[in-house]
Amino acid sequence: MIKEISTALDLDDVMDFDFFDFSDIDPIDLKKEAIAANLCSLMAFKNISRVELAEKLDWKLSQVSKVLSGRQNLTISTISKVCFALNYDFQISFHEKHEQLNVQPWERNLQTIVNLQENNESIEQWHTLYKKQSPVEVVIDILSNKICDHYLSPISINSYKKNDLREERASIVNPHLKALKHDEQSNLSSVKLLYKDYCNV
Amino acid sequence: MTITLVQCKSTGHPKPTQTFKITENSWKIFKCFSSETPESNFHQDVKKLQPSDQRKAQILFIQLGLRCESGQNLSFFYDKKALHDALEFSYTDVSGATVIDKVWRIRQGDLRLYFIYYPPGKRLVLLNIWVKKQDKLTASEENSLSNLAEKVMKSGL
Repeated sequence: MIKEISTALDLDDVMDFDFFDFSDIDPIDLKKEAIAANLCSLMAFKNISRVELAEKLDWKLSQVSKVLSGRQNLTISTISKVCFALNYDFQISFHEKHEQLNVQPWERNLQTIVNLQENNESIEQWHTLYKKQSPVEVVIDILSNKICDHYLSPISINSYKKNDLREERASIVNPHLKALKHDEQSNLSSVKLLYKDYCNV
Repeated sequence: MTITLVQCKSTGHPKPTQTFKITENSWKIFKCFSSETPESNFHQDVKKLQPSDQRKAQILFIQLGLRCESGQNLSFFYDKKALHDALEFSYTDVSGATVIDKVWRIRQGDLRLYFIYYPPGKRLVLLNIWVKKQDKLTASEENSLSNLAEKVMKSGL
C-alpha cells in the first residue's frame, strides 16, 4: 500500500537535511532557470519542437539548446526573437515576492476571479487567484494566523455586482472586506484576492 | 511492504521560498521511503553525495521543479541527451496483465537522476540519484532500479 504524505515535515528522516531548501541559491540564477522554463513551456503550449524553433529562427539546434538550458543570461533580444517566432509577445509584470500569479497562456484553465465576474468591469481588471475553502479551513487559517489578504463569500460577490456591498453581514465573516472596497475605490488594476467560499458560516 | 511517497515542495529559511509553483496542471514530484527496502530511500541517496555534488543536485532539482510547473511534456524542456529512458521494467497490474514501463533518466553533468511516471495523475517518483561518468548501468544497478520501480508501481495497485 502506498501512503502519500503531503509535507516532508511528517518524517523525522528529512528534518536534518532538506534538499528542496533553495533559500541559499542565487536568485538571479533562479530567474535564468525560470525564464528558460517559461520559454520551453510556451514551445510546449504551441507544440513546437526545438528543431522547428531552430528552423524558424535560422539557428543551429545547439544554439536553441543553449538558450533553453537555463544557464544563460538571456538578452531581451534573444527572448524577443524566441517569443516572436512563436507568435507571442511578452512584458514584464511585477508582483509581491511571495505572490503567485497564473497569467501564462498554459495556465488559463486555472480558475481566476475573472471567470466568475464576466459582466463586472471593475473586477475584470483583476488578475487574481481565488481558492475555495470550507468554513473549518477558514477558521483554522484565522486561528493559525495565516489569514489571506482578502476573503469574499458568494453573497458578497453577488452584492458587489449590484454595487451594494453587504458590509454588515460580510464583516461578521470577513473583517477584510472593507479593505477590498478601499482597493476598488483606489482603482487598483491588480489586486491579490483569495476567494474563499464559506457562505455557510 | 509499505512504500511511503513524500511530495517534494520547495522550502526555505526563514520563510519557504517560491522557487516554483505547483498548480493542478503541474507534475508533482515525489520521493520514496521504505523501512523494508533500504534502496528506496531517495533522501539518503542525496545525503550521501559529496557537498559539491549536492550543490549540483540542488540545481538539478530546481530545474526539474521549474520544468514541472506547467505540466507540459518534459521532453520539451530537456533535449534527448539530457532526458531519455534508461531501462525497461515490468510489473503485473490489478487485472493480472503484465505492464512494461520505463525508468527515465535526467543527465546533468556527472549526475544521473532516475525516476518513473506514476499514474494516475501527473506524478513523478524519484528513484535514485547517482554520480556517474557513464550512462551505462551495471547489472546490479539495473537490477536495483527495476526492482525498486516495480515495487513502487505494485505497491500503488
